[in-house]
Amino acid sequence: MITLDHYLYLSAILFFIGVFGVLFRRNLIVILMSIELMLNAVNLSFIAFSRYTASMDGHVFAFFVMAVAAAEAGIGLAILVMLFRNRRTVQADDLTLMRD
Amino acid sequence: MISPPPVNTEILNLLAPLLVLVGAGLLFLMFGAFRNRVGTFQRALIVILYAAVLFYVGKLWNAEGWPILNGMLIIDRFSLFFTAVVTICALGSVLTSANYLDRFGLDRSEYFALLFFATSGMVVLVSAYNLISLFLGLELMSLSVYVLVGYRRRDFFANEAALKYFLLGAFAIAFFLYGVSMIYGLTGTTNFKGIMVEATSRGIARDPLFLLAVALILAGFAFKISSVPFHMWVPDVYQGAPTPITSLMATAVKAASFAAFLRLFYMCFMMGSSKWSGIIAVLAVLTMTLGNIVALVQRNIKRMMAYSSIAHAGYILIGLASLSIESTRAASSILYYLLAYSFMTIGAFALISAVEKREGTRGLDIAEYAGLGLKKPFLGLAMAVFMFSLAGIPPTAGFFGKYYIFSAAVEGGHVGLAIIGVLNSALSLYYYLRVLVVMYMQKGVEPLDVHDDLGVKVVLLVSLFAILWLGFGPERLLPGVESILEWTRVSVAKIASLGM
Repeated sequence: MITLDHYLYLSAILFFIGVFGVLFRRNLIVILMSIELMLNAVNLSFIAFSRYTASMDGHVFAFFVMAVAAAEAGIGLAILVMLFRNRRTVQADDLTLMRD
Repeated sequence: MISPPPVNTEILNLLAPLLVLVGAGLLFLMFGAFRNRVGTFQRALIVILYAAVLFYVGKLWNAEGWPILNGMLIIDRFSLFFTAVVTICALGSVLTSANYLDRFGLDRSEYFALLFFATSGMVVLVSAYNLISLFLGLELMSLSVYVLVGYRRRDFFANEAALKYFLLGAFAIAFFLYGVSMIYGLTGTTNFKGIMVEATSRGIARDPLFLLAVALILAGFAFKISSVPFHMWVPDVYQGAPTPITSLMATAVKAASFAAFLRLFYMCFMMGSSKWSGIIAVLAVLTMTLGNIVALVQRNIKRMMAYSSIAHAGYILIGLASLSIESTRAASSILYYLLAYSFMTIGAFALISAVEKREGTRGLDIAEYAGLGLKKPFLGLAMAVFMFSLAGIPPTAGFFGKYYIFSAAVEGGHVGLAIIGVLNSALSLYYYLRVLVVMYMQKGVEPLDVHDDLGVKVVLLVSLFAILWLGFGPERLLPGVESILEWTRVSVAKIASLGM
């Protein structure tokens, strides 16, 4: 029997895979994908809670998160393309122009 | 308290400030399709549109503060006050932009469209009464600002700044959302009042998941208000962004985020305040100490202002740590501080943008301000007042801002916090006054090339006036502040009725 807890554990696992991806991968596109994974983990937990509490707010929230994540990915990739055109790199370690 | 839903035309009236901003954003996107450059006519129009927002805020000031749109937004004095603050900050940024954009070849219609969208996001954020609208406002604001930060497309610094801001911003938003989903799971609702009622009546504050959720939401806000440990992006992004946008980020974005932070925590999470006020107190100490110490060694003025803005976020966090259900003193001191801080920061950045150059040394080194004070007496005087106010020297607004925050902390039993705050402002005196020393005591080597056009002068004059007006009669604002915080009574009454 799959209960609320199973969904929440899955969501937590996905979320932390995303967190580790952001913290330890150096490729900016992979970092962007990891952030998307975190947002999907959030969506899963919203839907699970929505079923559990029998209210529709969680579904609505998940839709908004998806819509905003799409906009965010659009802007993020645009910024990344701009960076790649100027600098020919997508590695986080190369972003060191500004230091004290 | 049962709220009758207002009828349709009334809703449109209440939404007028927001509708003007969104409409203006769409209008400027349209302009962009036909003609890329922004002429005098459009510039005048921008100022008129922002003035219209302020006019509607004034008109709505006495309206009843009911939740509207099915409890998504609330238009009360608190949200109107912050709508006015962010509008003034955005207007300051627009007035500084005109000359700056010309010089840097960035004069495009989309810039202003994005500025309008960012402002409307802030208005949604400060009027949010539901976690969904809070999230949407936050994202509308952030997404517009990400683009604006990277607006100088060919500039390496701007590319890097935009990417850093975007990645860390999206990362922080994910934490925030995870916290929100837990709050939703605990209470079964996303409405602020619903959360407050559920949380107080079912004693959710004792659930460990609640503390985790609050910590995650705090992480999201800490990023936006540039508090330690989410401050790493601040200096780089402030340095790389176009200066008028830096000014917007340091003032409007921060004020709007603090407003939402205050409303959410004061309204929904107050019954668990004993659990999180300690965390915020620690963050406050770390934030202001780190900001002030690192600012001491900065040579680039935008980086110095970035660390200074981190330090100021720390002072405001003292106010948040001292929130109590018995008195609104701490909350009203936060409002006063944000208003005062916005004016002095807008002014300082207007001056920085006037000195900034496109080529060579870029005019951002503090050493390049040598001789400015004597060659341009008005600019020198203005900068002196801004720096004194940022350092908290009487009789400026900055002094009374700090005074109210620290006395609220003492009243709330956080004497240690107040002492650390005072020590920190003594420390900050060094780097603020250093700018003045360079400006007045050192002789400039290169001829100064300062672009103080009408827009910059207006911003300087208005912020100068506001700082002194708030400073010479700080009590003028206080009776108003109590009515702005009317909404807190709802949650206070509820918590008191349960005897918690």
